[in-house]
Amino acid sequence: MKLRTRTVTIFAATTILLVLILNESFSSIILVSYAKIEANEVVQTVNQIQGAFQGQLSSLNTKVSNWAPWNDTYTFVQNNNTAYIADNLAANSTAPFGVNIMVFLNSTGGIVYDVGYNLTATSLMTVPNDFISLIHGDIVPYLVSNDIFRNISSSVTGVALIKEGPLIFAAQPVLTSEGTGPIEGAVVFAQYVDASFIEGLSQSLHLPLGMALYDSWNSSLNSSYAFTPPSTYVHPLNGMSISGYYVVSDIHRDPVFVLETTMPRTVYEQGVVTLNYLDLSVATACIVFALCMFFLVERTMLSRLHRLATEVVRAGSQSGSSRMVSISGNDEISSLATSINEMIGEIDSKTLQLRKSERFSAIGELATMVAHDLRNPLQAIANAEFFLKQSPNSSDKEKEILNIVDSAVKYSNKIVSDLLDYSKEVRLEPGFTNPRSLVSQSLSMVQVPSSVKVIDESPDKPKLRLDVDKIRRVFTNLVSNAVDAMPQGGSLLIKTSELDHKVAFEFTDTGTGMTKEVLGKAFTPLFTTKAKGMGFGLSICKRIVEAHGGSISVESSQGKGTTFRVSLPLDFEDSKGGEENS
Amino acid sequence: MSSNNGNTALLVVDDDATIRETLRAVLEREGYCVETAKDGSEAIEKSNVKLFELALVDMRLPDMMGTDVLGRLRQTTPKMRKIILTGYPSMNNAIDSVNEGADCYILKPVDTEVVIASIKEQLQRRAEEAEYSVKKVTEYIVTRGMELDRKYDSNHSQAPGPSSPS
Repeated sequence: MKLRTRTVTIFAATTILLVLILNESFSSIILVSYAKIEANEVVQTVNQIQGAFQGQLSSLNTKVSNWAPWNDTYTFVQNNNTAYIADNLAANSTAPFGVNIMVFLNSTGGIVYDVGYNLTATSLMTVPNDFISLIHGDIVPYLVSNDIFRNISSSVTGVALIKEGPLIFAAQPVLTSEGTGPIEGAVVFAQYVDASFIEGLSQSLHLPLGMALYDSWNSSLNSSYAFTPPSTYVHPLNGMSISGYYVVSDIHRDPVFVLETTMPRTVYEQGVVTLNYLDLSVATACIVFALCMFFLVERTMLSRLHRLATEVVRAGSQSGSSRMVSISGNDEISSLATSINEMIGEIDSKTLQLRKSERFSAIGELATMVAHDLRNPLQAIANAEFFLKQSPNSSDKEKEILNIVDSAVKYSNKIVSDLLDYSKEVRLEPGFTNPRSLVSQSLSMVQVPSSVKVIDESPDKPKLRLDVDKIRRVFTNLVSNAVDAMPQGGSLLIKTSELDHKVAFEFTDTGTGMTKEVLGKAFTPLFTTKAKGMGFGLSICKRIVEAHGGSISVESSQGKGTTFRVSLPLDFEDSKGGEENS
Repeated sequence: MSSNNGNTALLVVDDDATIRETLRAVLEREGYCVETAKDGSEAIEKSNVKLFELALVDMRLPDMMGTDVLGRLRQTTPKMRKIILTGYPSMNNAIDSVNEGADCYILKPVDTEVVIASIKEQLQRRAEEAEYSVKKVTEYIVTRGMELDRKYDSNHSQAPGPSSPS
């Protein structure tokens, strides 16, 4: 379960991270390019505004050209006659629509006459002092530098700022109606850039327009992300609208005022929508992918691991054939199940073995205790029997009986000794010998009846290092077992073979053989088929041989005979004598 | 069944009464004078009251180890022979026994004849030792006497000077 939670967490975190990274990179790529497209569009619009503004300037210039090359004006700047003023410059006169100020200059730049009109040109107004000083201070030098008083085909337009507000002006030289000189002066028309001016501009462009003085606009503008200085700026106000600005400069190239238009951000909004769709589809794709992966992992691994875990728990609590783990499939998990099954089998068999050996060791401990306790009474019986036997007036019959007691005591002694022997740890005292002397010494310890023929084929090589006494005891035991198995006589063949630093001794008799059941228990302590003896013989043999690092095995077929095979290393490792420290 | 053992005193120390009594019966018929003790302290007590030529001590006693008893038995001259009997043979036990002055180490259960033979052998050795020490004393006395004689003779031969024996 924990693994599953962890997997889910990892998948979710990865998906979220992936979606975030993709969204971030998409927005940085897509939105930026959409913003660029949008800015270009705004710049184009601002260019249109600039064009329209220039159009206003040239239209003012056209109005000037209707007045400057005219004989009446020519005469007027020469003599300042009142008839011209009355005919042309009175209120409701023929003064052109939209012109707010008209100034007539003589050839030296002096003002011949100036007149102002209000918005509708229906009433007169005084020309502001500020404009008069502008004429003297700025416009006349500007006209001079533009050759207005020397070149008959020259004209000038420009922008200026006075106290009353920004304005545009146009000027041309005063000529005869035929357009010839000499130049007698100049005519200057000015028009306020006011609400009606902006209104007209706005209508001609079909755009909402606004105007602000440069200084106040500049200070309110905190950032503009796209602009082409000095005249064009683009500034997004918010997500919904964006502004374009055209900065108008005066004749000294100082920025004076700003024409501003605000447009809806249709392109950008389209970009945002596109991005949102993209983000949504990417997120969906990632989530779907993550879910697919998770279900795949869940199906192929997690659920099977979980099942394996439950199976193992179940198998652990049961016994017999249901003590097995089963997982379908042919991969690491199913092979893990197989390994677990093998392990369970191993554990079961080892547990059985352990229980067996525990039981034997318990019996062994008990036996040792009993053996020790039996020693004293046996000693007393032996003493008493000795006393009675030595008694001068005991009869022959009594002596015979006492002999039986004697042998019974001796036999009991042997059992006790065997028991204690078995409970003792095997300590090896190495010595040198060879197969032949080992076998012949062992044979000499056993009384072989004449009906049994012994064939000893042991060579006197190789040299062996082992505990001679103990191995001789093993061989004596095997020979006497063989002899016991052949009550009707037979033959005992003893063969020796050397292989791979080991020497194997085979004791083959032609005796009664053993049943399978007996064969299985042959090396088990306390197991015996004989009426006499404690059944420690073969189990002690096994311990002695194994202490040498060797092995003992038996093959037998009932009625044909038995073969014991003892395999011993040429030189046992002292560490294998393991039980030496007691 | 020789009665020439009549004066030989043996001490049998074993906590098992059946062994004590059967051994006593056997050994007394052999002609020894047998005392028994059931544990270490009784054995030490008895050895203080009576002199024993030989002690037969079981290794495992209720109050102490047989080897501990050996060192605390009263010494006699010539040396008392000591035999340790044990049902628990081990190298350590054997080493302890010899270190504590045992002359012989017998494993239980044993043939009664082996016990008797061991006792006889140890007593024989003790007798030899006794004889040897008597011999030594005699030898010393004889040698010393002869030395004194020689001294005396030489003194005499010098003193009279010119007047030589006739």
